[in-house]
Formats: sequence, structure tokens, C-alpha cells
Amino acid sequence: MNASSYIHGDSFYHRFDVRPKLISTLLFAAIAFAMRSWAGLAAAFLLPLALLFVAVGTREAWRCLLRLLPLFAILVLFTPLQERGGTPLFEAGGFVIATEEGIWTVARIISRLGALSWALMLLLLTARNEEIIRGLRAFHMPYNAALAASMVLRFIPHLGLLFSEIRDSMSLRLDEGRRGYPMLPSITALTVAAIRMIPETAAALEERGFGRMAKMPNEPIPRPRGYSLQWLLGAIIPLSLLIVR
Amino acid sequence: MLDADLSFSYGDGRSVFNGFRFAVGEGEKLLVVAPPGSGKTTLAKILTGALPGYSGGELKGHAYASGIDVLSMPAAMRMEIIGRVSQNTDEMLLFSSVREEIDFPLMNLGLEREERRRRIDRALELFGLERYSSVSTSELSGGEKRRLMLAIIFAVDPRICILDESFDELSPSWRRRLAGIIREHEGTVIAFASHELAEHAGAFDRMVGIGDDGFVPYSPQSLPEVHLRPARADGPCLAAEDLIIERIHRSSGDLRDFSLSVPHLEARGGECCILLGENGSGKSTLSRVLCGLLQEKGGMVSLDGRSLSSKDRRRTVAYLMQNPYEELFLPTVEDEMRSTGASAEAIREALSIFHLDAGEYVQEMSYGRAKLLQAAIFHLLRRPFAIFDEMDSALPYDDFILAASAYLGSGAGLIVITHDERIPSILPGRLMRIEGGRLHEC
Amino acid sequence: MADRNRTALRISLVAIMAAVVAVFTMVIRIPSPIGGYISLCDAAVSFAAYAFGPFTGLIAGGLGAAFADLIGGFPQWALISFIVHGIEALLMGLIVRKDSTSIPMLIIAALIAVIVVSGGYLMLTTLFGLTVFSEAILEVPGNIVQSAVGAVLGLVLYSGVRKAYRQLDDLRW
Repeated sequence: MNASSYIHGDSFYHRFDVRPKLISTLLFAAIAFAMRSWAGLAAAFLLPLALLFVAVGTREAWRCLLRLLPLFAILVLFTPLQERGGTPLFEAGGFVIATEEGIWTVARIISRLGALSWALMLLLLTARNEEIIRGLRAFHMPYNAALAASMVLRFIPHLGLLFSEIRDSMSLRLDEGRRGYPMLPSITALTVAAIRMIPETAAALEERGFGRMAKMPNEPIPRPRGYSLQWLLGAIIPLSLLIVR
Repeated sequence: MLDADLSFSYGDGRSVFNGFRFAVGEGEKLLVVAPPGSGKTTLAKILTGALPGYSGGELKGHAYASGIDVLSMPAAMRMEIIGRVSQNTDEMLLFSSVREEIDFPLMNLGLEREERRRRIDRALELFGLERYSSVSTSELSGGEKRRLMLAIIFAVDPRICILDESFDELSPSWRRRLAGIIREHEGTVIAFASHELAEHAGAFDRMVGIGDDGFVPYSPQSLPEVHLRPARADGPCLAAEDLIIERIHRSSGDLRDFSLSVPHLEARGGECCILLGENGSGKSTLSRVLCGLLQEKGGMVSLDGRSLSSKDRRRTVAYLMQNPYEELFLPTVEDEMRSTGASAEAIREALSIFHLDAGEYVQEMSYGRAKLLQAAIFHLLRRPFAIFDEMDSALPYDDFILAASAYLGSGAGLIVITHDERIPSILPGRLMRIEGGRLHEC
Repeated sequence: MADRNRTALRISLVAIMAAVVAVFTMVIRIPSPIGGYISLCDAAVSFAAYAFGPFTGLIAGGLGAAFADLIGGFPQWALISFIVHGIEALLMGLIVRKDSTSIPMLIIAALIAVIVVSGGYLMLTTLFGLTVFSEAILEVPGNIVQSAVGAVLGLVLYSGVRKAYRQLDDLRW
């Protein structure tokens, strides 16, 4: 199991500094909720999706899209139930299949869900977790919160791996003829192993000097070449959606 | 340099040290050899401040380093004076990337960015980790994690380094390299080990054991003599033919392929085979295939000529993993042993063979004792074959031999994976080695 | 200094428990009695609440569920999961006091988990305009089963872990 969704690449978006990327993600997410026209909904859905395809390639972007398709399909199936009092658009045998307002409601939800999801995936797939945390630090996230987040990201794959080891060794000790692995002892063993680590980890933090400095300096991240241009693009691309709003 | 007199008892009243006194000279390289459960890890933790810490317990006494009592200092303030490499590397890893891991203590020292980069690069180079700089720590092998922990302490560079079983899991070439690094290091080094290794020779100024009230002169363990009955020719025969094993690691950005081919491997009941090979050469991966936890790419594993499915292999081959805690799940020793379904008499016998105490709590046992319990459990399960994965590393030779003879004596076939090149001279058995992605008999 | 010590312990406690919640959510799936799979997310969340009290539960439960969404490829639900599972752990931790777990108390805790989780997702997803009401209703039965099973399993887990690791209660803050 891997706690990092990062896909190695060298697209223009990969080369962006993480700070403008974070702002861009935030803008995409916020603007997705501000769309008022059909064109706006379509643009808010498609623009970050297109960026995703450019940045991580067809295969990975397609996987993100596939993951949401079932939900979109269910939403579309529920269209007949929406805004039944509205202007009928399609009818069959006197039954109103969809109203104009109903279709609008569903389309707006799909657009928001999609836009939100693509914008976040765009960030998670093109920036390493450490980078994202460093970027959040630059925006004044408290040091202890950043430290805790880094540690969560270290412990997730560790515990995931530990669980598969525990499951394996359980299966080696099973009695003749039994299949699989016993669920409750396995999760208990995993939890005990995790809890045991708490005092050890706290001690490890201190032995490595955590708490020596009253306040950890927030070191500035060096600015890459074209940093101002990245900021400009990072803001303009999502903001351009407001034109078709 | 270091002058200590201390007493410590755990929260539940177990006393480990009572007026324990010792002194270590400036720049001295000291090797402390003592069996598991004698308090090596406890001593290391007391000196760096991990104990009493959060686990409770009562500590009295002092430990002066250049005139300052480190025991009275908060743990975080001791790091320039004294630091340790823990025996269990997993519990000391805090971050996802190798570079961040080394950077964290250096940042806490308040070092400038340039100085930190210089120290990180030097430490990575010293322990051969240059190409892992941005790799995820969860993808490192046991030996690589050990080297990372060593890299951290040498980057921080405290005046006293405590190395708790740091030769463990390292391949012979890295053991030699670590011995060289210790010898050339300017500061004081205190290394703990459960037995003397060939690679220790020449690296240390003094060797001691642990007594009741201080270090005692080290008396070399006479290597135990083992008398084994010859394997019976009609015993069960575990064989592997033309095995091809592949694994793919997804490492940040680059794919590392791993493949191992085993043209022929054969082990008989009551027979001992010794498997040697570098870190990451695939010894554990091969074990996982033999015991049915991993599927091979090609070839077959058979028992007496009959091909074995993964499920059959799990009933045939016991695998004693490197980290014993991964195979222990229940509260007490007795609970663990009962779970095997063995008779009360067999359990009593196993308790005495492996020197275990039925009431002991598993999570409170030392690493070495947990290994003995692991051995006792699989002994009770009576699988016809067993694989010891670096079982010798945290045990004295006596205990290791004890476990091995118990298995062999009951007629089980044994495959012993080890980095210790002395093992073949103690334990008679056929030698096998993995080299260049291929297993061959020596 | 005592204060600083607590900080190192709190950070470790929250980080490790959040990771436990995330792993339970992502890795362990058991077949559901009403079809499909349920995750053990709520078992870990209620374990955190029982073992470490409302505040650790709030942060670890919320953070763990959110990380599971972020890493698992459904980042759009991360914020909602954070709120729902955070509040679930907070309320359960406030109600269940250790050493006085009784059957009625367990039932109340399970009811709270069920109401917070199924109601929370229903309310928040429609409130944020991320789904239509009828689809959100469709998710309710699954959430009810998952959170009820979770609340009970969390307690079983708590008593099991406590038996094997006697220092568990010392870690509370």
C-alpha cells in the first residue's frame, strides 16, 4: 500500500511550485460552486479534467474519471425524481420523465462533484505529499500540525504492510482445514502493534530533539524560475471560468 | 567521560538495575555482550531519555557525561551529548522520505540549510544510501532501514553513540564496513550485542558483559557443540525445481525489478540447510514462496515428489519471520501456546525447553525472548519443515542452538537464513548461497 | 518541560490513531449483510473514542477518515468525512466513560454512531450540493449497518487490546 498518489512526470503542471498549485486547487473548488449557466457548468467540469489529462496522461486521468462514473450514472438515473413540479421536458405515456429544473439540478451536482474531484486529484497526482505539506507550512499551517500530517503519511503504509504480514502469519498458524484468516484477532493484533508504537514514537521524537526549539523557524521555500508566471497562470486558469459563469 | 550509577524499575515493579555502576572513557569504543532480557535496550533508553519517559517506571541515580548529569536533562536536550540507534528500526522512523528523516534532528539542532545538506549528503554516502534519498522509507529492506538509522546518528554526531544490536540485519560486507566506521569514529561508541560476531574483531577497545552491579569482564562464549542425528534417508523431502520468483517494487518514480531463480533446492526431514546472501538478495522472498505466502512465477515446490499448492505449503513449512511480534497476537505466553491446540503436557515441555514463563505478557517481552516464544509456538505446531529467518540475530548462540536442536530433534527439516558466517561452523548443515539472482549449493 | 513532553505524546497518539483509522477504512473490508462491502472505519473511530476519549477521537477519527478519502482516490469527500467521523468520535467519547461500560451505554453509543454517520452524510452531502436527496437516502442503509457494526466491534476491540497491552490507559490525556 502506498500513501502517495504522486505520479512521476514532467508536465508543465508538475513543474509548478506547490504554492501556486494550492491556490489554483482552492480557486477551482470554490468556482465550481459559483456556476450559473449551462456553459459554466460544462466549463467548470471540463477545464480541470482537461488539465488532468495533460498533466498525468490518459491512463491515470481515465482512472480518476472511471472512479466517479458509477456515481454520475446513479445521479442521472435519479433525474426523474427531481423538481417534479417544474417545466416538463420529456414525457412518456403521460409520465413526466424529466423536467428542465430537474436536469439542471443533476447537471449542477455532477459539475461540482467532478470539478472538485479533478482539482484535488490534479494536486495529489502532481505534487509529492511532503511538498504539499511544505506548501501548507508556507501558508502558515502550524508546525505541529504539519509534523502530525507527515507522520500519518508514514504510518499508513507501515500499518498497511504490517496488517498484511499479520494476516499472512495468522494463516500460517491456522489449524488444518481452515481457510482465510480470523478477522478479530488480526485487527486486534494490528491495533496492539500500533498502540505499542505510541510511547516509542513519542520518545523517538524527543530523542531527535523535538521540543528543543521553542518555535520551529518557517524556512522560506526557494523560488523556482518563472515563479511569478506560475502564480499568474495558477490564478488565471481557474479564474477564467468566471467569464462563462 | 561517562560515569554512571543508576537504579531502575519498571512501572509494574520489575527491577532491572539496582545500583548499576559503570564508566566509559572519552573516545572509547566499548562492546557490551549480554543475552536478551539482561537490560541492554533498557540501559540505552535510560541514557537517551526514552525511559522512564512515557512508559512509567522509577529511575534513580546519575550519569555524568563530561561533568553534566544527563539523566537530569530533558530527552530533547541530550541529543548533542548522547544518542542511540534502536534495535527495532520501525519504531524510530517518523517520515516518509529518507531525506526528511535525517533532516528532522538536524533542524531541531538549529542548523542552517547548507550545513544540513552537507551533513545529510555525507551520511547518505557513508552508509551507501545516496540513491534512496527521496525513496519512501516503507520501501526499504530491513538492512537498508538499519543503515538509515545509523546514517541519522552519524549526521547528528553526538559525543556518545549507543548502537543497540546495530550489526543485526546487515550483510557481512556492511558489518565489516560498520566496524570500520566505528574504529575511525572520533567520539565514544557503546555497542550492544547478544553475541560476539567475527566482524566485531578489531573495532572495539574493550569488551564487557552485564553483571548485577556493573559491567563484568567479558568471557568469550564457548561455541556450543551440537550433536545431530544424521537425517533419516526415508524422512520427508521438500524440493523446489526451476523456481522463478519475481517482485516489483513501486518506488517513487523508478521501478525496481527483483528476480530470483532457484534451479534446484532440496531439504530432508531432520536435516539442516543454511542459506546465505546479501541484504535484499531475496532470502525472505524465497521463504515466503516456500511457505505458501507468495506465488512463484514459474517452477514448482513439492513434498516427496507431490506438487504442493499454496495452502498445502502453509501446513508443511513453518516460517519464523524476522520480526517475532508479527507472529504473536495474544495477551500472554500461555494464551499463545494454547492457541496451537497442543496438549497441556506438550505445552509444559515446550515452556521448559525454551525457558519461557507461562504468565508472561507477550507485549512486555524483550525482542530476543519474543523470538524464543515464536520458536516455541511453531515447535508445538509440528510442521515437518521450518525456516528460521535471521533467528540468530537477537539471540545468544546457546539459545539459537537450543531452538535449532529442538526442531531437528523432533525430525523437522530446517532452513536457516543468516548473515553470520560462523553459524555454518556451529551448526552442521548443507550450505546454500544466493548470488547474482540465483541460488546455488556451495 | 512537562508540557512539552505531553506535546510529543499527543502528536504521536493522534498521528498513529489517525493512521489506524485510515488503514481500517482502506484495507479491511468485510462483506455486508445487505450486499456490497462495509469498511471497518467506524470500528477504529469508536475504538479511538473509547480508548482515548473525545478529543483524541475527534482529531484522530476525523483526520484518519479524511486521509483515507484523499489517498483512496475520493478526495471530494474528505472534508465531509472529517466532520462526520470527528463528531461521531467526539460524542461517543463523551458518553462512554471508561470503567463504566454497561449494555445500555453501549446501545446509546451505537445509536449515536448510527445517527451521526447516516444523518451526517445525508445532511452534509445535500447541504454542500454534492448529491441529490434521493441518492443520499440510498446510502443510508449501508451507513447504518456499517456504523452500528463499527460501534460494537470498537468495544470488542477495546477490551481485547486492553487485555494484551496493559499500559493502554496510561496513554490517555
